[in-house]
Amino acid sequence: MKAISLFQKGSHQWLCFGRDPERDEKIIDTNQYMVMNGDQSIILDPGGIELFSQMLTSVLKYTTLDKIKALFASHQDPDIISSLGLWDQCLPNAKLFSPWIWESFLAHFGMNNIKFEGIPDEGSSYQLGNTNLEFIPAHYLHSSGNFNVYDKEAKILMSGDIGAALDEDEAPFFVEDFDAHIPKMEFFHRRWMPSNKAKDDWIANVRKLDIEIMAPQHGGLFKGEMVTEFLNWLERLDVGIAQNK
Amino acid sequence: MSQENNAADTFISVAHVASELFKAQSIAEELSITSKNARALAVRAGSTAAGFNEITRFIEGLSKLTIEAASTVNTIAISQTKIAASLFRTGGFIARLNRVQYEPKEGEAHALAQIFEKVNGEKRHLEQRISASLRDLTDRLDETKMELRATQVVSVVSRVEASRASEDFQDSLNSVADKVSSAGSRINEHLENARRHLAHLN
Ligand SMILES: [Fe+2]
Ligand SMILES: [Fe+2]
Repeated sequence: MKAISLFQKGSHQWLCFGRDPERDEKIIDTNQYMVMNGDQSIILDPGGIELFSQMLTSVLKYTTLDKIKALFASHQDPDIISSLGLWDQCLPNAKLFSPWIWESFLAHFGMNNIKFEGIPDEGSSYQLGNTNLEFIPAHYLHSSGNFNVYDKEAKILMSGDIGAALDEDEAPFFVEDFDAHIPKMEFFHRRWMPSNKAKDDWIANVRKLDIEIMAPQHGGLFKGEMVTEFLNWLERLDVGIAQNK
Repeated sequence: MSQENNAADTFISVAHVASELFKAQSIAEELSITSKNARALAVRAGSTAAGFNEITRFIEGLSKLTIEAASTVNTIAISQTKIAASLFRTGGFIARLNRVQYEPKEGEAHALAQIFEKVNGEKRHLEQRISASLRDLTDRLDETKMELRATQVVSVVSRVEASRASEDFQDSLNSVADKVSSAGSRINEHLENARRHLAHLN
């Protein structure tokens, strides 16, 4: 699994793990994130069971298990958090931050030691060392209980499935050509996202934030101008296209 | 065989045992109805079939015994399935932990040593619990089989009683004997099957 640093200032660091060349091709490629500050770390959308060994391998290069204080799961999907039962055995004192509505569902992945911290619908925040991470509501994008993570200092928005693209393994970590990137995102957003209203509310909300990097859970990350390009594109897109026929 | 397969094998086998016992239970329930009919029959047959009352009580007892055994086995099977599922998870966890590529830096403690130790201990403990509860299950099945041997005796005695009864009732009483004997051997067959499902795990 490859790793890149998205931000570093003192002990405050954002890492992105992904583009795993050893991944079975049946498994959708995912980006996992780890934020570190002082001697504390949080893993954002830690990923599926099949990725656990590679993730633990990667994580141990940068931190130790006792420093990992929390996990964050933007929503309940298996590619986000089916590894929970395995982390549960490695991090007996950690917390899991996730939308409150998913508590009893996530327990199916095995949660005997980790403490569940339900994020209320309106969002909340988490103090990691000296920095504050905000859990920003992104419900119905695509999951009915769903949050992004915003780091004001690093100017990074971890956007979960929003901005997700089905990219090739060799693709660069950052989107370079927005137009060429559209076909990799379009079907995913139109089919997985159920609500135009939720989409518009989220865009309005996110436009108020100072964002340097928007980091989705699948495919390339958006940096600088590309963030605005993405928001403009998503604004024009009509989502929720599935029909019962 | 790998640990994961072992655990999976256990819960598949135990599920089969529970389903055999469920079938035995339905037969025992039929047997209970047969016994009630036989009692009514004995009343109508009057003094010539007096011995039948004793027999029906006995049939009733056998049916209860089988139903109880099925319920006990079911309880053991459920707890066994839970332990096997934990073992399956633990096995999977150890396999994934083994795949982590990690070398402790000079002078640093091994970050995963404690986890390995804990999880291996858990695994041993779960394995012990599984074999203890397998023994329980086997004992319970053997016990029930022993107790069910009596059905054949009951059937023979029923036939003797039938021959003493007045002719009007002989056919009906003989049919009771047939039903008891057939139920007994069918239940026995299911217990044998259950036993076979466990045989290769011990
Ligand atoms: Fe998802
Ligand atoms: Fe996803």
